Amino acid sequence: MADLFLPAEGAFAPFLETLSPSGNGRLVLSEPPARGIATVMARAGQGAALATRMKALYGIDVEDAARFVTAGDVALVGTGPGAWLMLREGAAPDWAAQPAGELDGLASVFDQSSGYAVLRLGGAGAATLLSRGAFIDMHPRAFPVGAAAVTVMSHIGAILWQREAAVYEVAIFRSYAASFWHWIAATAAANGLTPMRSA
Amino acid sequence: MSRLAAGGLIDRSQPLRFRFDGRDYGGFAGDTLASALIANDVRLVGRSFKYHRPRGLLTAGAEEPNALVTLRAGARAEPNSRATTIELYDGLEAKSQNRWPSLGFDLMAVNGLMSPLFVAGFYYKTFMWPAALWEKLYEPLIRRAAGLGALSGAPDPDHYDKAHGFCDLLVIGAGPAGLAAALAAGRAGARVFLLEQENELGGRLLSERHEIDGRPGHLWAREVADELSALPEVTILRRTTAFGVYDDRSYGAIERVADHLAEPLPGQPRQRLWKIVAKRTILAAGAIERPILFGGNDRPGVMMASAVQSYVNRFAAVPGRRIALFTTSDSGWQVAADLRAAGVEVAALIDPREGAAPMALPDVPLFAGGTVTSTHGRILRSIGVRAAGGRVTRIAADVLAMAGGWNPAMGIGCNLGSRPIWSEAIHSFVLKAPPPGMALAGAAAGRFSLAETIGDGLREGMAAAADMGHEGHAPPMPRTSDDKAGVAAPWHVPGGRGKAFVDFQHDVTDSDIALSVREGFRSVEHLKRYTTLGMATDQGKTSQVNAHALLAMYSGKAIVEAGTVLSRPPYLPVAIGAFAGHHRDADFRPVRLTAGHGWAVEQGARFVDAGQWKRAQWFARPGETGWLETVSREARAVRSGVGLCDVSTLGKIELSGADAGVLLDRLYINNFSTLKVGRARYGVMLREDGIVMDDGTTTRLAEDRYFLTTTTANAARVMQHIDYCRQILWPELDVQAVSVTEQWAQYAVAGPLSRRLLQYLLPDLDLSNEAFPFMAAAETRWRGVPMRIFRLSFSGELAYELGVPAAYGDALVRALMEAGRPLDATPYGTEALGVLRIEKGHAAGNELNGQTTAADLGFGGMMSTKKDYIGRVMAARPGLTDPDRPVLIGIRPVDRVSRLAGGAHLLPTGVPDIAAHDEGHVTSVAFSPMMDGWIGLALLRRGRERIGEHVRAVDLLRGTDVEVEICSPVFVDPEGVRLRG
Repeated sequence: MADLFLPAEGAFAPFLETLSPSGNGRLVLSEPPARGIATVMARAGQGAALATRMKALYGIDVEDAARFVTAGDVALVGTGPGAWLMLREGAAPDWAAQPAGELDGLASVFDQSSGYAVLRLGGAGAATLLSRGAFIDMHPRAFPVGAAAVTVMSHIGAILWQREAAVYEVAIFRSYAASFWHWIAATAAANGLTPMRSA
Repeated sequence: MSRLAAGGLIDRSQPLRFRFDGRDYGGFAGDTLASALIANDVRLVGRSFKYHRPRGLLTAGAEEPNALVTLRAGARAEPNSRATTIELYDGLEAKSQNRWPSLGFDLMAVNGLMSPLFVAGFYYKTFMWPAALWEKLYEPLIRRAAGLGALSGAPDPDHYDKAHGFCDLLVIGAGPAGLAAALAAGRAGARVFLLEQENELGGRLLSERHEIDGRPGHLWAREVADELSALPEVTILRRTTAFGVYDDRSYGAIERVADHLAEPLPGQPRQRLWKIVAKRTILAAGAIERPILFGGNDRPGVMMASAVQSYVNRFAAVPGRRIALFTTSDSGWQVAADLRAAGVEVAALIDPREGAAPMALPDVPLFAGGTVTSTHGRILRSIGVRAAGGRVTRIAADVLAMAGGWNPAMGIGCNLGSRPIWSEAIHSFVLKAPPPGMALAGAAAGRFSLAETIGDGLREGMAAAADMGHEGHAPPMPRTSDDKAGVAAPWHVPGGRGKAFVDFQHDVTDSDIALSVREGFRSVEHLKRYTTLGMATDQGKTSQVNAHALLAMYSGKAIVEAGTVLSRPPYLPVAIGAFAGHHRDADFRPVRLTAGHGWAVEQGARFVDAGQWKRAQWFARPGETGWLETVSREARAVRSGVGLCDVSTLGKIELSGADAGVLLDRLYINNFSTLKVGRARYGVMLREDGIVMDDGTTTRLAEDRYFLTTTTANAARVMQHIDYCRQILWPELDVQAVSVTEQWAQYAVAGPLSRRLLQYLLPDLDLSNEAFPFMAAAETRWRGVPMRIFRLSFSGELAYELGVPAAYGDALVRALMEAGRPLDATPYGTEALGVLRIEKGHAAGNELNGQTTAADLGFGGMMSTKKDYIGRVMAARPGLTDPDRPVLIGIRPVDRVSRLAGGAHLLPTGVPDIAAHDEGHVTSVAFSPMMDGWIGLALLRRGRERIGEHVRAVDLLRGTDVEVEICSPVFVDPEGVRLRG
C-alpha cells in the first residue's frame, strides 16, 4: 500500500462544527491549525547548552519558567523545571524526529502531537471563562501575554497560556475533549457567553 | 392592606402576584416575601421546631429564625428558605412548614402541652429503654414531630456555576462602612471585590431615615454604587454572601444568580460558588439586633425593632396598627420616632434603663424603668407592662418591637479560631484579633453610629489600598445626621408569664439554660450541645449572646468569663449543588474516550468504566441471547481466528536519557538495561514495602529510550512513582520520563490469523518468526504516519499490538477491520480479554490487589539477586516469604458443570464453614469456551504444592458451595506453542 498522508482528526472538530461562525465575538473558539507538539526535557546538566542550541536553531529565547515564548514557527511553553511543550506550526506527523536529532544529547524529545487536544479561546469573555475553571488570577497584570500555567480545569489537567492579547490556548489530554467541551459549553452559557467558531 | 400610601423603596409601578399557603396576594417589585406578607396582614408564618408554637416574622434579614418557608413547588421546591431574604417575583409560590394539617391548626402543637417532657437534653433522658427501639421507633417519631421542611425528592433541574476571584481588597457588606471602604480603595486604584447579600447596596441606610450630606442615606448609597460600578478594577457581587474564611486568605461566597426569578433563564446557573483570594479583607457585615428575654416573647406580633423599622421605612409595609416598643437601646427610640413620622400609632415605649431619654418623643407614653412582663392573644393583642413603681398595666398593642442592643455580625471572622472578647462599651462581643489580612469596620467592629461607620470604612479602605501600593486621597468625610448608640447589657425579665425564648428556631428557653447549668453543663460548648442552642439553620444569630449572658448569670459568673462559641462555615446554609457545580450526573467526573470510541459505538459496543475511561466490554450481535454468549464467541474468535481489541487505555510512559536503563533496573524486579533494542520484556515492579505495585511490558526503542506500559488502573500512579524516583530519590541520574498514554492509540490483533491480517495491512513488513519473533518491536510508517508494532500477547495466542498517534487511531482501527474482513476479524471487549487471560493464568487487577508479592503470583524466579531494586529488602521479610502464604493457582469444578463465584473462600472438604478454616479465596472466574466449563484463579495457602487436591469454594453471600480441583493456573497451551506460532 502506497504511503498516503492521512488527515489528522481534530479532537474538538465535531464540537466546533456545532457553533455558528457569526456572533458578538466575545468568545471565539477554534482548534489551532495542525501543528506538532512535543514534550522537551533537558538532559541532566544541559539546560544552558540546550537554550544556546535552541536559540541557534530556532531563534527562540528559551525561558526556564512558566512562560509562552515564540519565534517564527516554533513556540515553547514552560511546564516545569527544564521541561517545555514545543509547538511547531504546520508540522508533518513524524516531525518530532527532527528536533530529537537536532537536540540529541541536550534534551529528550517526546512526540505529543496527538496526545494533547488544544483549544484556542479568543474574545473579551475568554479570560472570564478560563477563570471559572482555573484557580488562577487571569487579570492582565497577573496573567499577561506570554504567561503560562500548568493547572486543573473542571477536574482535567490543563496547560494554559496567553498567546497574544485576549487569545488563550488550553492543552488537555486528548481523551478528555468531550468532557472538557461540555464544561466549556455549560460554563459559557452560565456566564452569558455565546461561543462562536472562527470563520 | 397595611401598605402605606406613599414612601418606601418599592416600585409601585411594578405590581407582582404571589401565593402563600394556597392563597393569592399582591406585592411590588422591591418587596421581600416577608414585607409583602406584612403588607397583606399575614402574621402567622411558621411553626416552631420542637413545640410547634405559632410564629410570626421576627426580623427583616438573613438572621430570621422563624419565617422558614418552602419556596417554589415541584423539583425546584426549596425548604427552609427565609421569607425575609426571598425577593418577591411575579408568580412566587411558597408554603409554610412543620405543621399538619394547616398552619392555623397544627395537631402537633400538642408537643407544646407536653413541653415539660421536651426540656433540654430530653433526647438523652427519654427513650433510654429498650435501646433497640431507638433506630426503628424513637428516632423516626422524633424526626416526624420535630422538623423543618422536606426536600422534593426530585433531581435538582438547575445548573450551578463556579468562579474564582482575586483581589487586593475584599469588602464584605455594602452598608455605609463597606461602601465607604470600597470607594476609598477603588478610587485609589486597588482591585476591589464588594460583596452584598442583597440586590440593593446600602445596608441599614435602606431601612433608616439617616441623612448624609443633607439627603436621605439611600441616595448616597446609590451614588456610591454608581461610581463603584464605573471603576474598572471594582467588581460588585450582589446577592452574594461570604460564608466562610479559609486558609491563605481565601474566602467562600455564594452568589444567588437566579434565585430572584421564577426559574433561571436558559443557560443561566441558579447559583455561583465563588472562591476568592484577597490580600486584604474588610468585614463590614453590620450588626444583628438581639431580642429581649421575657415571657411570651415568641408570640406572633413580637418583632425586632429594627425589623419594624425596615418594613415601615423601606417597604412601606406596617406590621401593626398600634405598635409598642420595648427597648434597652437608643436605636429603639429612633424606631418610635420613625413610626410616628410614618403616621403609625405608638402604644408605649418601655425602656428599663432608668432616666434614658436620648430624644424627645411627644405623644408617646413612656415607661422609663419599666419592663414587659407578659404578652397576650393568639396573635398579639396586648402586653403586660410593669412600670418603674411596680404597678402592672395591660396595654393594647398588636405589635411589640423589641430592641435589646446590637451584636456585631463578625461570624466568619471567627472561622479560623479568632476568639471574640466581651466589650463593656457596647455590651456585646467584638473581634479584636481577626485572621491575617482582615480588618473590621463599622457596626461589625462594634462602632454603630453612622459617622463612625463611614469614617471606619474610609480609613480601612485607604489603609488596605496603601498596603497594596495604591496611594490616593481619601474621599472627603460626608456630613451625617447624629444618631445615638447608647445600649444596656442583654436584658432578661425574670418571673414573667410564659416561656421566654432565647433560641426561637430550636425552641430553647431561659429555663432550659437554667436547667443546663443546674445539671452541670456550664461551659458554652456544653450548653450548646446539651440544649442544641444555636445549632439550627440560623446558627444562633439572634440567640447566642443572650444565651451566654444567661449562662453567666445562672452560674454566677461575669459574661466575660463565660465567653462565647466560635462559628464554623458556612455562615448561612449553602446548597450541596453549589459545591458540586457542573460535576453531577453524566458530568460527575470527567470521562476519557479512546480514539476508537466512535468506531466501537458503531460496532454496538457496551461500555464499562475503567477509572475515567470508557472501555468496550463486549460487542453483542443480533440474535445473541446474553452477554455470556457474546463473550464466548469473541473469545473463541481469538483462539481460532483473529480478534481486535482497543488497548489504548493501558498506561504508556516513555523514558529517555543516558541512565534510563539504570532507573528501570531499580524500578523493576528484573533487568532492563540488558534488553536489546527492538525487544520487549515483561516486568514486575514492587512498592517500597515489597508488595507488587504494577506489571507490564517495556520495550527498548533505542539505546537511550524505553517505552513502558502499565495497567490501566495504575497509569497515573506509576508515572508519579517514576517522577518521584528520578526527581527525589536519584536526581543524579540522567533520565527524562513523560506519559505518552494519550499520544498513542493502540490495538491488539490476536489469534492464529493475526499475522495474515497484518500482512494485508503492511505488505512490505517481514513478520515471520525469524524476522519478528515473540517480544519483538519495530517502528515503521503506515500511510505516512509513525507506527509502532509489538509482538506481545495477553491472550496467549499469536498476537501483535499496533500503535499510531491518536489522531489516526480511528483510521487505523477501521483499516484493521477492513483488512480483516476476509478473515472474519472480530472485535472483542474487556470481558473476552478477561476470559483469555484467565485461561492463560495471567495475573491482573484482581490478583495485583495490594496484598500479593511477586512470589505469590509466581514471579519469584524473576526477582534478581544480582542488583538492588525498590521493594527488594522488604520483600524478604519473614511474613512475605512465609511458605504458608496463599499463592496463585487455578481451580475448576470437580463436576465440570458447576458455576464458580469470584470472592468465594477456599476451605478444606469436610470442615465447618468458619473463618478458622479459611485457606484462601477465588480472585477471578470465567466461563472458558476452550475448557467448556467454568475455571478460576485463586490465592490458596501452599497452593502450588497441592495441585490435584480437592477443596471447596464456599460463597456464603451467594449461598454456593462447590467442590473444586486445584490445578495449574495456565489452562490453555501451557507450553506456549500458540504464542510463538
